[in-house]
Amino acid sequence: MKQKILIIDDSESVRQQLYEALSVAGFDILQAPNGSAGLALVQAHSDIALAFCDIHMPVMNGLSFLESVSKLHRPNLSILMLTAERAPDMITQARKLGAKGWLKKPFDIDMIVATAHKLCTLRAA
Amino acid sequence: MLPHDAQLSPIIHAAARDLFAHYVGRMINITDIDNIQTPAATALLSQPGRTGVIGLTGAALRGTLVLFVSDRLLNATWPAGGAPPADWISELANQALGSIKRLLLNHGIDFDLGLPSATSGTNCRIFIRAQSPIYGLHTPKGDAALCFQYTSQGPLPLLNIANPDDDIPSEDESVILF
Repeated sequence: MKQKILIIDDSESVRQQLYEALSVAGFDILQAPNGSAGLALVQAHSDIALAFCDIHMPVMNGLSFLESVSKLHRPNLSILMLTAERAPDMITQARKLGAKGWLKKPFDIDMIVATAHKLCTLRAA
Repeated sequence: MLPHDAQLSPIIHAAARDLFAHYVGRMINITDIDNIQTPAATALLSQPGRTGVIGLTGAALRGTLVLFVSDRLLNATWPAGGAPPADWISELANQALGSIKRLLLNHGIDFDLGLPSATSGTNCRIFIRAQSPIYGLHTPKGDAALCFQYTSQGPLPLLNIANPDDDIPSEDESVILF
């Protein structure tokens, strides 16, 4: 059974890149253009193993999404922030809210796929 | 060039090189165009291409980054090949500003990024209010132009930080797992 990954980014381009690479890598992909839509998908799909989430998005940003998910008690869901942001206080805040990591943009797609495999393997173990 | 632009030029050059190095390699030549009315600027911006615009706001400065990328270079940056989605230019502008932010954080300057927008078409004209130069970016795979205009209370208080905050991820740190 394929592991399920959620991509949350207001950029269609970023979602497309990640969808194509992660689909080929064998994952089942869900997409959302903002944190609110992402939250709805998390609530609807209890088997999402990993989410890549941008920071700056309309409607609901990434940190608000993290905060909302933290209240759902989803220990099997790993959330990685994928963003052009570098501010230490933002990284610290994301960590406190339960993010499992921080990936910078522009990203190396091979690194993204490798990280997805790593975290999904850890989850399955 | 105004004193405060002389402060930022090395930072903007570095951010532009980092961005296009990732996508098309490090062979990038940067020209400083002091006036958007010059033939050099007109020739650059008359190419078919797309423009991303993103705002920024912080205690020390507020402004806008404008990134024009020719269609030829834009296609070269798109990993899947061919024409990228319409919003790819706004994502590139977002990444360019993120890189500038990281470099300015090393000098004690912080700001928030806005949401990027995009336009497309030929004969792009960039109208700005600050006396900021246009940076022509020239790669073997096409051209781009970047303008970083901002307002501040005098010259930016750039700190010479010998040891930048270790918590600021370096350009080489693509993944940080907690």
